[in-house]
Amino acid sequence: MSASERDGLGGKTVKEVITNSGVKITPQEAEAVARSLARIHAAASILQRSRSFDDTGEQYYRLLDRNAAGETGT
Amino acid sequence: MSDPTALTLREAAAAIAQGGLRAEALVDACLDRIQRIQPALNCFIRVTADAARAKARAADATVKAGRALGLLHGVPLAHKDMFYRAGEVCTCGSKIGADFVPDHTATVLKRLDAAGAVELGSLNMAEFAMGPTGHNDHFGRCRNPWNPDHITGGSSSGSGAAVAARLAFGALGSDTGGSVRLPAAACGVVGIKPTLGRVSRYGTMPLSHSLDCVGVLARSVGDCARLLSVMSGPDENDGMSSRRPAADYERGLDEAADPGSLAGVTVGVPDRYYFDGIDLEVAELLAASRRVLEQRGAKIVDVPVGDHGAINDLSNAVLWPEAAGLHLSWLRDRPQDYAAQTRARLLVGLGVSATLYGEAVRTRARLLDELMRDTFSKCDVLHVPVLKRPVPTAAETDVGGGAAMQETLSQIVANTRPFNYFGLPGLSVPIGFTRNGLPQAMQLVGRPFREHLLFRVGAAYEAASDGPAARPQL
Repeated sequence: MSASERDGLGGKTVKEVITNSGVKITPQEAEAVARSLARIHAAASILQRSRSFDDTGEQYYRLLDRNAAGETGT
Repeated sequence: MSDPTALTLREAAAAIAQGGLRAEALVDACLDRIQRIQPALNCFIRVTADAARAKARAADATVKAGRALGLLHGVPLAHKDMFYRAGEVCTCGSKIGADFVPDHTATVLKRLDAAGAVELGSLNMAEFAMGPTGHNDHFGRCRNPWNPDHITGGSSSGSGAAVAARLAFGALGSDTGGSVRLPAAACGVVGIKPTLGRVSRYGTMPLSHSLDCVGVLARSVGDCARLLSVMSGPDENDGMSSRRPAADYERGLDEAADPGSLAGVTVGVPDRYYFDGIDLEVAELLAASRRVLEQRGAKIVDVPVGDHGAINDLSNAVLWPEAAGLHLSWLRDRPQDYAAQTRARLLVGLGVSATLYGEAVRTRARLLDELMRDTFSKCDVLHVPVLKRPVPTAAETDVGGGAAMQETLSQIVANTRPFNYFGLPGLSVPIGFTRNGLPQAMQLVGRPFREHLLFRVGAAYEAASDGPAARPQL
């Protein structure tokens, strides 16, 4: 993850990124998005510390199944 | 029968099957009630009275002929307006979907139809299921039957209000961040968000394919159990649905009323996050509900949990990019047709990088593994609040797309959204009222595919506290 991703993006950059996707956005809206992104990036920096290729979307579904033992009993 | 709408779903189904109640009379009673109460609550987007009466008459004829009946034979239901029925408009609570007519029918509707349910119409909801309060700029706000000045919770706002107001015996909802459990809690009914993949999503409006679950709201735990029994099971049309066979979730529920029925069940109370900053009144109601579970034989223990506040925030890196991808063409071409709040939330998804999204998706495996190892190794069920505060007024949450939006909405979904990220089942069960006269609920969360145990614990609580939830006077 890059430094800018870790710290979140500023409103100006957010506006540029979203405008490039063809969607109109005001500077005020871009600032609000930047605040939301900062919060997400802060959470990601706390939680995303995996160094294993085994942590995948498929592994998640395998774990759902594996932890279901005894589903119809107590 | 004086007022058949006062029955629970299971009682109504039994009365119809035994010939003590005609399905047509029950449908008429619901339609009369809808006509009287709809102007005050705004639960319905569309009422299909003629079709409902016709199906009810057919149901009565089947009973008279002595033919086999389904588990929901003749029972009136209504659903959030995001479940497709071929050839019928499905607005998804939006202006953009005002003329959307799907060409196929949702698997979950087919299953309810096959069990004999009668559909009364389509229910109000947050625009595209994006909003936890019950506000809707296009169809008007749905109002809480306990006090119309207060929110219903959302996004399945009409589902919560209609079931609580006894306009329908059960209602489908969807839950991507709390959208079944929140309106169930705020309206004083029972709501189940099943394990991710437990119920087919084929023919339902998508929001976030990694998080979306189809759930259901009803007046009692047993009613929800019956509905989920009908709804669940594999579906070849939904590649994400679990291959596990449909389960009989009613099995053993009658024994839940026995004293000591929860012997051997350990209920875990998280040692952080879920009770942080909780309102005193709400905390007291939750403590009282734990005492009831304890009296029924459950062991109550404190359990450690990880940083679920961060998980709540990280889930936005999954939900909003997936939602924004679905809405991109409309965001480009019809931005004026979204409510300000809906559009503001979708824009967040356009700012999340593909790398961050990918990491947030794959991190789920490790975080679920940690939760199972560190928390669920010490308990069978988690007990947490759905809401940490009394149900707020509409005015208090009328934040549109403005600066206070993120904080206000984040607080409402703080205790429900982490479990969508994990994909775990959650059951919202009413536990009483705060001084403002609005309901409160406990949320029971279980291991994957352990809905059966959640129903058993919920039913034991319900039996010990004088049966299904109280009814608002309307």
